[in-house]
Amino acid sequence: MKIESQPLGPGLVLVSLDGRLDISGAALVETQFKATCDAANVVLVDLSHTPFMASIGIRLLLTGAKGLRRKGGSMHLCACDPQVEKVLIATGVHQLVAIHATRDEALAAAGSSSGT
Amino acid sequence: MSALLAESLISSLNVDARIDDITKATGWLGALAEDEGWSQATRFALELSLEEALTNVVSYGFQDSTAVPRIRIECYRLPEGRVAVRLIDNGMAFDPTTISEPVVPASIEDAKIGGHGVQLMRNFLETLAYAREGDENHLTLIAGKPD
Repeated sequence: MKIESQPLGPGLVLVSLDGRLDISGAALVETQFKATCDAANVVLVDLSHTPFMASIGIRLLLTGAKGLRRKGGSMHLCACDPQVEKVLIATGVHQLVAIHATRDEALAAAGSSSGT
Repeated sequence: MSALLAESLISSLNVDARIDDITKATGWLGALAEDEGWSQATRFALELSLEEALTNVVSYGFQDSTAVPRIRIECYRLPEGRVAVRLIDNGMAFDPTTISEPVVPASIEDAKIGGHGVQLMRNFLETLAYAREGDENHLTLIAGKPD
Protein backbone atom coordinates (compact mmCIF):
# COMPACT_ATOMS: atom_id res chain seq x y z
CA MET A 1 0.00 0.00 0.00
CA LYS A 2 1.26 3.44 -0.97
CA ILE A 3 0.19 6.97 -0.11
CA GLU A 4 0.97 10.13 -2.02
CA SER A 5 0.15 13.65 -0.81
CA GLN A 6 0.04 16.50 -3.28
CA PRO A 7 -0.59 20.10 -2.18
CA LEU A 8 -3.15 21.78 -4.45
CA GLY A 9 -3.48 25.14 -2.75
CA PRO A 10 -3.35 26.82 0.66
CA GLY A 11 -4.47 24.18 3.16
CA LEU A 12 -5.79 21.94 0.36
CA VAL A 13 -4.16 18.55 -0.19
CA LEU A 14 -4.91 15.66 -2.53
CA VAL A 15 -4.15 12.26 -1.00
CA SER A 16 -3.99 9.24 -3.30
CA LEU A 17 -4.25 5.84 -1.61
CA ASP A 18 -2.92 2.98 -3.71
CA GLY A 19 -3.53 -0.57 -2.52
CA ARG A 20 -5.71 -2.58 -0.17
CA LEU A 21 -6.80 -0.62 2.89
CA ASP A 22 -6.81 -3.67 5.15
CA ILE A 23 -5.06 -4.17 8.47
CA SER A 24 -1.56 -4.39 6.96
CA GLY A 25 -2.19 -1.67 4.35
CA ALA A 26 -3.54 0.77 6.94
CA ALA A 27 -0.44 0.25 9.11
CA LEU A 28 1.76 1.34 6.19
CA VAL A 29 -0.06 4.60 5.42
CA GLU A 30 -1.46 5.59 8.83
CA THR A 31 1.39 7.88 9.94
CA GLN A 32 1.54 9.89 6.73
CA PHE A 33 -2.25 10.06 6.40
CA LYS A 34 -2.59 11.45 9.94
CA ALA A 35 0.27 13.92 9.42
CA THR A 36 -1.35 15.13 6.19
CA CYS A 37 -4.72 15.65 7.90
CA ASP A 38 -2.99 17.43 10.80
CA ALA A 39 -1.22 19.85 8.46
CA ALA A 40 -4.09 20.53 6.02
CA ASN A 41 -7.48 22.15 6.28
CA VAL A 42 -9.26 20.40 3.43
CA VAL A 43 -8.22 16.88 2.36
CA LEU A 44 -9.37 15.26 -0.85
CA VAL A 45 -8.88 11.48 -0.81
CA ASP A 46 -8.68 9.75 -4.18
CA LEU A 47 -9.78 6.11 -3.76
CA SER A 48 -9.59 5.10 -7.43
CA HIS A 49 -6.70 2.72 -6.66
CA THR A 50 -8.15 1.31 -3.44
CA PRO A 51 -9.92 -1.94 -4.42
CA PHE A 52 -10.54 -3.10 -0.83
CA MET A 53 -11.40 -1.41 2.46
CA ALA A 54 -12.02 -3.00 5.86
CA SER A 55 -13.13 -1.38 9.14
CA ILE A 56 -9.53 -0.39 9.85
CA GLY A 57 -9.79 1.89 6.79
CA ILE A 58 -13.05 3.39 8.09
CA ARG A 59 -11.23 4.07 11.36
CA LEU A 60 -8.41 5.84 9.49
CA LEU A 61 -10.80 8.02 7.44
CA LEU A 62 -13.03 8.94 10.39
CA THR A 63 -10.06 9.83 12.62
CA GLY A 64 -8.76 12.16 9.91
CA ALA A 65 -12.19 13.64 9.16
CA LYS A 66 -12.88 14.32 12.85
CA GLY A 67 -9.58 16.15 13.24
CA LEU A 68 -10.26 18.25 10.15
CA ARG A 69 -13.78 19.09 11.32
CA ARG A 70 -12.50 20.21 14.74
CA LYS A 71 -10.48 22.95 13.07
CA GLY A 72 -13.25 23.93 10.66
CA GLY A 73 -11.94 21.89 7.71
CA SER A 74 -13.34 18.94 5.82
CA MET A 75 -12.57 15.69 4.03
CA HIS A 76 -13.79 14.73 0.56
CA LEU A 77 -13.63 11.21 -0.89
CA CYS A 78 -13.76 10.49 -4.60
CA ALA A 79 -13.68 7.78 -7.27
CA CYS A 80 -14.61 4.85 -4.99
CA ASP A 81 -14.83 1.27 -6.19
CA PRO A 82 -18.53 0.17 -5.93
CA GLN A 83 -17.76 -2.38 -3.18
CA VAL A 84 -15.69 0.18 -1.25
CA GLU A 85 -18.58 2.65 -1.55
CA LYS A 86 -20.84 -0.05 -0.09
CA VAL A 87 -18.46 -0.25 2.90
CA LEU A 88 -18.67 3.54 3.33
CA ILE A 89 -22.46 3.47 3.16
CA ALA A 90 -22.85 0.43 5.46
CA THR A 91 -20.83 2.21 8.16
CA GLY A 92 -22.58 5.56 7.70
CA VAL A 93 -19.42 7.35 6.56
CA HIS A 94 -21.31 8.84 3.59
CA GLN A 95 -23.47 10.81 6.04
CA LEU A 96 -20.40 12.37 7.65
CA VAL A 97 -17.92 12.79 4.82
CA ALA A 98 -18.74 13.98 1.28
CA ILE A 99 -18.35 11.29 -1.41
CA HIS A 100 -17.91 12.47 -5.00
CA ALA A 101 -18.05 10.38 -8.16
CA THR A 102 -14.98 11.93 -9.76
CA ARG A 103 -11.83 13.75 -8.74
CA ASP A 104 -12.99 16.86 -10.65
CA GLU A 105 -16.26 17.00 -8.72
CA ALA A 106 -14.37 16.57 -5.47
CA LEU A 107 -11.92 19.30 -6.48
CA ALA A 108 -14.75 21.71 -7.23
CA ALA A 109 -16.36 21.04 -3.84
CA ALA A 110 -13.06 20.97 -1.93
CA GLY A 111 -11.85 24.12 -3.65
CA SER A 112 -14.93 26.07 -2.66
CA SER A 113 -14.84 24.81 0.93
CA SER A 114 -11.16 25.72 1.33
CA GLY A 115 -11.79 29.20 -0.01
CA THR A 116 -9.22 28.90 -2.79
CA MET B 1 -26.20 -24.10 11.60
CA SER B 2 -26.33 -27.60 10.20
CA ALA B 3 -23.08 -29.39 9.43
CA LEU B 4 -21.60 -28.48 6.08
CA LEU B 5 -20.97 -31.43 3.79
CA ALA B 6 -17.40 -32.69 4.08
CA GLU B 7 -17.20 -33.31 0.33
CA SER B 8 -17.93 -29.65 -0.39
CA LEU B 9 -14.76 -28.54 1.44
CA ILE B 10 -12.59 -26.66 -1.06
CA SER B 11 -9.61 -25.85 1.14
CA SER B 12 -8.52 -25.13 4.69
CA LEU B 13 -5.79 -23.08 6.34
CA ASN B 14 -4.28 -22.96 9.82
CA VAL B 15 -3.03 -19.56 11.00
CA ASP B 16 -1.34 -18.18 14.08
CA ALA B 17 -2.84 -15.55 16.38
CA ARG B 18 -0.87 -12.67 14.91
CA ILE B 19 -1.77 -9.65 12.80
CA ASP B 20 0.40 -10.70 9.83
CA ASP B 21 -1.59 -13.90 9.46
CA ILE B 22 -4.80 -11.93 8.81
CA THR B 23 -3.38 -10.77 5.48
CA LYS B 24 -2.10 -14.28 4.81
CA ALA B 25 -5.66 -15.59 5.32
CA THR B 26 -7.35 -13.04 3.06
CA GLY B 27 -4.67 -13.71 0.42
CA TRP B 28 -5.44 -17.43 0.63
CA LEU B 29 -9.15 -16.66 0.18
CA GLY B 30 -8.42 -14.35 -2.77
CA ALA B 31 -6.52 -17.16 -4.51
CA LEU B 32 -9.50 -19.51 -3.96
CA ALA B 33 -11.79 -16.84 -5.44
CA GLU B 34 -9.63 -16.81 -8.58
CA ASP B 35 -9.57 -20.60 -8.85
CA GLU B 36 -13.30 -20.98 -8.23
CA GLY B 37 -14.43 -18.00 -10.33
CA TRP B 38 -16.44 -16.24 -7.61
CA SER B 39 -18.16 -12.97 -8.47
CA GLN B 40 -16.48 -9.74 -7.32
CA ALA B 41 -19.27 -9.22 -4.79
CA THR B 42 -18.86 -12.70 -3.27
CA ARG B 43 -15.10 -12.34 -3.10
CA PHE B 44 -15.28 -8.89 -1.51
CA ALA B 45 -17.92 -9.96 1.04
CA LEU B 46 -15.91 -12.99 2.17
CA GLU B 47 -12.49 -11.31 2.23
CA LEU B 48 -13.96 -8.40 4.19
CA SER B 49 -15.83 -10.62 6.66
CA LEU B 50 -12.87 -12.95 7.20
CA GLU B 51 -10.61 -9.96 7.82
CA GLU B 52 -13.04 -8.51 10.38
CA ALA B 53 -13.74 -11.82 12.15
CA LEU B 54 -10.08 -12.84 12.27
CA THR B 55 -9.05 -9.38 13.51
CA ASN B 56 -11.40 -9.88 16.49
CA VAL B 57 -10.01 -13.37 17.21
CA VAL B 58 -6.36 -12.33 16.92
CA SER B 59 -6.81 -9.07 18.88
CA TYR B 60 -9.10 -10.23 21.69
CA GLY B 61 -9.71 -13.99 21.54
CA PHE B 62 -6.59 -15.02 23.45
CA GLN B 63 -6.15 -11.89 25.61
CA ASP B 64 -7.21 -13.56 28.88
CA SER B 65 -6.75 -17.13 27.74
CA THR B 66 -4.06 -19.60 28.69
CA ALA B 67 -4.90 -21.85 25.73
CA VAL B 68 -2.30 -22.38 23.01
CA PRO B 69 -4.02 -20.66 20.06
CA ARG B 70 -5.45 -22.92 17.36
CA ILE B 71 -7.11 -21.06 14.48
CA ARG B 72 -8.41 -22.87 11.42
CA ILE B 73 -10.27 -21.52 8.40
CA GLU B 74 -12.30 -23.77 6.11
CA CYS B 75 -13.91 -22.87 2.80
CA TYR B 76 -16.91 -24.74 1.38
CA ARG B 77 -18.71 -24.74 -1.94
CA LEU B 78 -22.49 -24.62 -1.35
CA PRO B 79 -25.41 -25.15 -3.77
CA GLU B 80 -26.62 -22.29 -6.00
CA GLY B 81 -23.24 -20.58 -6.21
CA ARG B 82 -23.01 -19.80 -2.52
CA VAL B 83 -19.74 -20.02 -0.63
CA ALA B 84 -19.21 -20.61 3.11
CA VAL B 85 -16.15 -19.72 5.14
CA ARG B 86 -15.89 -21.18 8.63
CA LEU B 87 -13.55 -19.70 11.21
CA ILE B 88 -12.74 -22.04 14.11
CA ASP B 89 -10.70 -20.92 17.12
CA ASN B 90 -10.12 -22.08 20.69
CA GLY B 91 -10.09 -18.55 22.13
CA MET B 92 -12.54 -17.13 24.63
CA ALA B 93 -16.22 -17.57 23.78
CA PHE B 94 -17.37 -14.65 21.64
CA ASP B 95 -20.58 -14.50 19.64
CA PRO B 96 -20.44 -11.53 17.25
CA THR B 97 -24.07 -12.11 16.19
CA THR B 98 -25.15 -10.74 19.60
CA ILE B 99 -23.43 -7.38 19.03
CA SER B 100 -26.08 -4.74 18.47
CA GLU B 101 -26.13 -2.58 15.36
CA PRO B 102 -24.44 0.78 16.02
CA VAL B 103 -26.62 3.87 15.66
CA VAL B 104 -25.65 6.03 12.68
CA PRO B 105 -24.41 9.27 14.26
CA ALA B 106 -25.98 12.62 13.44
CA SER B 107 -22.66 14.42 13.07
CA ILE B 108 -19.00 13.69 12.62
CA GLU B 109 -18.34 14.80 16.21
CA ASP B 110 -20.60 11.98 17.44
CA ALA B 111 -19.19 9.38 15.06
CA LYS B 112 -17.63 6.34 16.66
CA ILE B 113 -14.18 5.67 15.24
CA GLY B 114 -14.29 1.90 15.79
CA GLY B 115 -16.74 -0.96 16.16
CA HIS B 116 -17.70 -1.30 12.50
CA GLY B 117 -16.48 -4.85 11.90
CA VAL B 118 -19.63 -6.78 12.83
CA GLN B 119 -21.78 -4.15 11.10
CA LEU B 120 -19.86 -4.79 7.87
CA MET B 121 -20.15 -8.58 8.16
CA ARG B 122 -23.93 -8.29 8.60
CA ASN B 123 -24.20 -5.96 5.62
CA PHE B 124 -22.13 -8.00 3.20
CA LEU B 125 -23.09 -11.57 4.14
CA GLU B 126 -26.20 -13.56 3.48
CA THR B 127 -25.69 -15.48 6.73
CA LEU B 128 -23.54 -14.91 9.82
CA ALA B 129 -23.93 -17.82 12.24
CA TYR B 130 -22.17 -18.68 15.49
CA ALA B 131 -21.88 -21.81 17.61
CA ARG B 132 -19.73 -22.70 20.62
CA GLU B 133 -18.56 -26.29 20.17
CA GLY B 134 -16.61 -27.57 23.19
CA ASP B 135 -13.74 -25.14 23.69
CA GLU B 136 -14.09 -23.68 20.18
CA ASN B 137 -15.86 -20.76 18.52
CA HIS B 138 -17.31 -21.72 15.14
CA LEU B 139 -18.24 -18.69 13.05
CA THR B 140 -19.81 -19.35 9.65
CA LEU B 141 -19.83 -16.71 6.93
CA ILE B 142 -22.01 -17.34 3.87
CA ALA B 143 -22.06 -15.18 0.76
CA GLY B 144 -22.97 -15.46 -2.88
CA LYS B 145 -26.76 -15.46 -2.98
CA PRO B 146 -27.50 -15.09 -6.69
CA ASP B 147 -29.18 -11.79 -7.65
